Amino acid sequence: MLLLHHVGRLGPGFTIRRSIEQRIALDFERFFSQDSIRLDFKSLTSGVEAKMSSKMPSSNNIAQARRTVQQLRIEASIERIKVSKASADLMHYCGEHAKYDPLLMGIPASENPFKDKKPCTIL
Amino acid sequence: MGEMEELRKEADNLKDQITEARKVVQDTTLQEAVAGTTLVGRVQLKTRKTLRGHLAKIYAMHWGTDTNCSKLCVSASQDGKLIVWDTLTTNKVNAIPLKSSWVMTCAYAPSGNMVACGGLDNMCSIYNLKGKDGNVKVMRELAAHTGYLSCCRFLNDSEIITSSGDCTCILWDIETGTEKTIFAGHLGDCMSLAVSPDFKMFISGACDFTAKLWDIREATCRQTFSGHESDINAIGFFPNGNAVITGSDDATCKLYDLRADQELITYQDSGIMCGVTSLAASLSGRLLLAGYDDFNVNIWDMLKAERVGVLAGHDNRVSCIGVSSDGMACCTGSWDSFLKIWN
Repeated sequence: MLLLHHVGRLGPGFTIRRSIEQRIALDFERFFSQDSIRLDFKSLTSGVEAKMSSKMPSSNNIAQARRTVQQLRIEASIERIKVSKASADLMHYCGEHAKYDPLLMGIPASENPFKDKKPCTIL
Repeated sequence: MGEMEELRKEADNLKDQITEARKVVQDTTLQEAVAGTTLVGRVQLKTRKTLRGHLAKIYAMHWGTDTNCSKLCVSASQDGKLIVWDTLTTNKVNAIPLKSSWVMTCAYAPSGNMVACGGLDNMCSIYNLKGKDGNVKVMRELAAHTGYLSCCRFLNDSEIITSSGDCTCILWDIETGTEKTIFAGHLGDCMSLAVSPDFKMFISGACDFTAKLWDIREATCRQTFSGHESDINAIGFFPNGNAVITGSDDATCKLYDLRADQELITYQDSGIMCGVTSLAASLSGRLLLAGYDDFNVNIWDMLKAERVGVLAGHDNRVSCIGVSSDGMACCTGSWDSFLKIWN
């Protein structure tokens, strides 16, 4: 059942990298846990039959391979900027907007709409 | 036989080209670039409100964006209800009973007029909150996916994007209830999606361990980001739309820059061994809030990649998290059936 769980998720050509016992134990626990509908469902519905590769390339496989190459051509052709520029832009954005970030700067109690106002008693 | 072999060779060549092109622009790392930046001070947020009312696990929540509902949010629970909350008063504005209780996602339209949800019924149901007689009714049921609905996000009142366990994402026309565009390419269940701040692109994270950037109008996949060693469960945009944050079952989050087309940094700690379920960035992008399987939310300095805070308050897995559109508060939803508002 664990094997089905793993194979069902991944297509042909992927190696299953689950080298640590911890990961296997975690997956085992998830698979049998009654709690996680999403995690259980991931393994059950990932089209096992569709993902098994055959030895003879059918027209389906060729069409799929053509699409993969087409997609890779698109991705290879994009313009890329330097990491130094990308990093600088992210740092600049954070710097410019920091003072407007309430979670970062903290919110004074008087301006915090979520803070419960304690009633005052007149002694 | 011949063509298959050729195609395989060309694919390998192109992959090598992409790897090379990414290396060429890697003149530094984000880590080096921020070496002179001071780490953010310890962030301590307090629970300001607890939203009680759901009777079972909460799977998703989403904040309203319109000025009228920047303090409203919608949550979806396995108890078969969508609840729209006024987070300031903790009152329930709407409690919407669902046909299918196996809900996995919910979304609030930017206009505040509608909410949507879906799950194991493979459909995305749209609800009109502003019906004439005041009743909230199903407006459309968008059915075409052949797998569970993992996430949905409105572009506007007439368009919504969904991601599914059938490995595709779909852009829908809500009026006609039909598919405008099918985004295929992932090799595993699509688990999460996020729309760019300019609404021109969206990103999806999937069980094939990759994130893909899609051009909504051109209907193409522009870029694919790898690096994670397990399913990507959560995805979001950095506030300026130039970078993408992912959260995975491999216990890490990663920051990918769209224009440099590569991973900039990984958010990981040897003490964290459980999967990331959800994530959200603070308004300035400096803080990354990520929910984990171990019931906690870790707050990371997004630039320095160090933990600067923890939100511990739930008694079960944190399944969803969101920062309000004005950045004033963070909301967490959990399998313990409660939502908490923090700031």
